[in-house]
Amino acid sequence: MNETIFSVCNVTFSYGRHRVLHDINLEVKKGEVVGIIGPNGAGKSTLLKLLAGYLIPDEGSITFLGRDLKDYDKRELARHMATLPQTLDTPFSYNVEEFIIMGRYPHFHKRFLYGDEEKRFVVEIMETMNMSTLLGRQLQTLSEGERQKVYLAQCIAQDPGVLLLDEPVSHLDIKHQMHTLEILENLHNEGLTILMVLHDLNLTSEFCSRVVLISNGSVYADGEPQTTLTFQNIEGVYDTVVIVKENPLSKKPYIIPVSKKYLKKQ
Amino acid sequence: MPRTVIAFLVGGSLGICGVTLQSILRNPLAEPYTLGISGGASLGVTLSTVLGMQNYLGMYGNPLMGFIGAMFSVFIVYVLSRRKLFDPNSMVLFGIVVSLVFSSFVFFLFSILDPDRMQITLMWLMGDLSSLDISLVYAYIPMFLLPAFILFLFVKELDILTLGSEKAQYLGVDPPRMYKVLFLLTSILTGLCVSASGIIGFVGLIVPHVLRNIIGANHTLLLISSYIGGAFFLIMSDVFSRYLLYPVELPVGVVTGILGGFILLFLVVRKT
Repeated sequence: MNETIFSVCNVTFSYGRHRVLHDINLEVKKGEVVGIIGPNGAGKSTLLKLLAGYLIPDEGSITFLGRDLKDYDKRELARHMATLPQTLDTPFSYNVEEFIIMGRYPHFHKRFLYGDEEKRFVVEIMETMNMSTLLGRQLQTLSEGERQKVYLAQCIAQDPGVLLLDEPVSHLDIKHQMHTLEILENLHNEGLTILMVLHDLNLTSEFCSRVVLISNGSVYADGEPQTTLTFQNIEGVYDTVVIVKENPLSKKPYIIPVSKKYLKKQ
Repeated sequence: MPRTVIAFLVGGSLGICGVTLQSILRNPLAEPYTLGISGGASLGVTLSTVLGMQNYLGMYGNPLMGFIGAMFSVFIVYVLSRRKLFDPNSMVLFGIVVSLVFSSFVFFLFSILDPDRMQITLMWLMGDLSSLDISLVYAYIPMFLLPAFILFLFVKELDILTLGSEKAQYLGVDPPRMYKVLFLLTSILTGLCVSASGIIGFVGLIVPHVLRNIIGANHTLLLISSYIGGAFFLIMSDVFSRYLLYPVELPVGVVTGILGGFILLFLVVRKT
């Protein structure tokens, strides 16, 4: 069960002269749901791109399933790991099935059309994600929430062991946020390891088994929500006064930001 | 008949090159000449006239020099792009610069030379199916079909590349390698097109544009239909160019330009 997925060792990364991440050490085990949080510009997305193999560390190393990430062929990596970047768009109009089936690419070696088996796989995914009504629709005609689910379905079509997501719920209303995160929870129950960059501290607290708090390019805190999402940590990193309560149902931390006008009164 | 064969091959090739470049550059307004080929080819043919290559090479002079010119500009764009890992945006920039510099040379040569001598070159620059020697047509058939067939092998990669290089890599495609392969294939095809018939505009822009609206973005269907559509469009334009002002023959590029322009305008106006 406790197989190591990622082993990040002293990783440093810069865009040109601007150093974004330094001395990152992180070990991710199979079956974890890791929420990566931190202020804008702290380096969260960069960390995810490093883990996804899109960026290469300047110093240090990242080991994925026991092998250096750099040694993976792109197609081989895509069979183990699916990544959803923060923004995804195309100027051309695909229908939902055509879009999701692209996720079968790393598994499918014939040159032209995808086979019946691949098509059945896509229909199954859409059924389990409760989105069969979208079948045959053009991607551009969907709402933001529906589109985000299609993007996620494409990742799931890769049949990966590890899922990396950059702000998967940021533009969604609470219904779609909860639905998306519940889908991820089901995937986790099937054995998937999930790492995601999130902005909403309360959703992070509810859905992640582990929280990695990034500040100024390094890991500020790392552990269970109860130990990482303390008001001292949050105030230290975000420079914002908060009250941390306990969610009465889940017993997880619940964070309430405090507006400055109330601080003056007390 | 041989003229129709060439119109078929050139029209089809421009169609699929247009699709491919639009998809890898993720821009529905890209076309086969976006990466600078037309400038190099024009310079090649103009030089061929200036140096009197026709005297040594006969009817082979213009096609050969056109192709060499095209490959020369491709080579420059290739060398510059390699350092940028074939990043599409950089390739467009290099293509525009190379095309501009070469075109300026062409205008320079035109400005200092005898206009009568440049008449044929000017016809060629506007796209011309009338001056190709028949003996060349049979040699062109396999040369056109082979790269087109290889391009058809990459339909799934093309679908994925329209999502951008970052997402393409996450889906298992190696974007720099793919961009390089597709750039070279489209360059060879476009180079052959300009060598056979000059710079025929709008086919590679309008045909993919119309077909994307009709059959969608899926490249398996899109590439095949763009080949057929491009071929059909150019054959029709060629017929027009021959009989519209009979017995005067227009350069076919003028016809595709006017027809294509109106179709594009119509599509854009209808959309908004």
